[in-house]
Amino acid sequence: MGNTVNAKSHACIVGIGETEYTRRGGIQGKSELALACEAVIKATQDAGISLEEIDGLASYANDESVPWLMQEALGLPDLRSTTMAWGGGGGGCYASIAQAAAAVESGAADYVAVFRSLCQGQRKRFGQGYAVPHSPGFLDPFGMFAPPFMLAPLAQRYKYDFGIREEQVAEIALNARENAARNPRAVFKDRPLDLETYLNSRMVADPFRLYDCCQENDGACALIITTRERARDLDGPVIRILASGQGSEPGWGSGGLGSHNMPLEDYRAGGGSSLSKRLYAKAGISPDDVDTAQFYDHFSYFVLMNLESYGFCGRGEAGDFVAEGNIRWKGGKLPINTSGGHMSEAYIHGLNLAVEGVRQLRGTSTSQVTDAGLCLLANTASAAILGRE
Amino acid sequence: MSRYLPTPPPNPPMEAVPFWDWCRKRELRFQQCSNCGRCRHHPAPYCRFCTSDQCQWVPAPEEAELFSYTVIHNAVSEALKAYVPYNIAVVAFPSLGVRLISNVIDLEPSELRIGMPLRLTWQECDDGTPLPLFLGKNG
Repeated sequence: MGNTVNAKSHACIVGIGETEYTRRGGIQGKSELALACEAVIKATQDAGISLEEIDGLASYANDESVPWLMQEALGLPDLRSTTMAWGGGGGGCYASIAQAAAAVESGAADYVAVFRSLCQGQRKRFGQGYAVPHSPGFLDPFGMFAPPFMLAPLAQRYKYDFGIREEQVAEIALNARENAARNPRAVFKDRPLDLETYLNSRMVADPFRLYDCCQENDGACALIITTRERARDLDGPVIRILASGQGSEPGWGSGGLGSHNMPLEDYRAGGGSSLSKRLYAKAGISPDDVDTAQFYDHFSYFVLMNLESYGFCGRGEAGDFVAEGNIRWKGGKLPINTSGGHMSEAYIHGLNLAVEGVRQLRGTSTSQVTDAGLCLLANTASAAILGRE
Repeated sequence: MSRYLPTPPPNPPMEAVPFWDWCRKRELRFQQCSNCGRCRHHPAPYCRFCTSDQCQWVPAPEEAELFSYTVIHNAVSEALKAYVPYNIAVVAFPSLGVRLISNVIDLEPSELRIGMPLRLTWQECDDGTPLPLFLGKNG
């Protein structure tokens, strides 16, 4: 039933906008709110619509550029849908796309801007020693203060159970850095990385070495989402959101950021297993159909787990999968993180990966996958499948 | 033994207050559903298996096992600089079906092994609350 209805009502991405991306603290002359506005303005220009037509805003991870300030700053005359995928890291990133899609498909809004803005030099660092609302009192007394500390034990167990080797994990960082070298927006464009440097890099939270962790950055980006009917009336390329959503396994709860009490099978899978099945079914495709994927590479091991949870190889097989060159732009079966990802382009908490996904389907990536028609955006708690019109 | 880490004392939400009250008596107890008998951690107002809001607090065995761990090399504050590398352990109590975040305080990073036996011990934090910590030697 769903597929026919959805095929008619698919929401589409019609605009993308980005500010410059810098290292954390690199943007000092503009506020986080100003960056959010800049990204939205650029996205409307890209879409060929006027700012006044934006009547919905969607964000995630408790973005501090709140809708009432955005409405004033941008002069939005008829803001009638605002949604927030709750925080807990950037896991809700693609849920914000799902909420924007739901808003336009239901008629709650006509044009929704999805945005994420970061100026971490001017305020607290995302994830740096934040008070953990997920599991109060059960992490801090034991020195578990920051996301790498919270998520490392999941990776440790995954590595142990499946015999994952560091030379395999290194592929995530090396692939990202190689793709970044072609991307003028990438913060690490001119910083090549080799295996030896990776293997000799300092340990942050075992098994996470320095290069297993993403960057921290300043910058903002935005997407404009509308209905397919409206999208076709615009001049620009139309990218369909074939499926999008969020979810976790039963018992996941606060998961890696909290209780660490989910079943072992889910603990070492890092989430996404049931979500991926639901989204592939909704989009009517299988993993084999996907041309390129942009995975939330906050920590390299989670990209390996995602490759398995989203069906590109069997459980525990991602180490071999990446070591065989499958994720590389040149000759890979599934080129991933083609902009350099969070590790080497910038960490805008997943949304810049969505922008790259749109570029791939428009044919404008700096690491363009030939004739890319389907792109997966995914992390442990939310995902979207985009398709070329 | 000196403190393993100079970390903040627990600041529990309402559901977790009994957990720490038991810790002050140096007893590690977990929340158990009075209806279906399953344990849960961290503490929650309802049993996720049967939705009962009735519970009791049952003692954990002194013996546990290392389910997973990390070794932290990155001090997030000045106060922690003298303490790195330190470990964070995910400690499993298989007979209860729950896990607890803690530290193994008597082992070097290279001595940690997933699945190794651990034994409960206690160390007071700044406000005097005993923290449930673990020993790996002769665990």
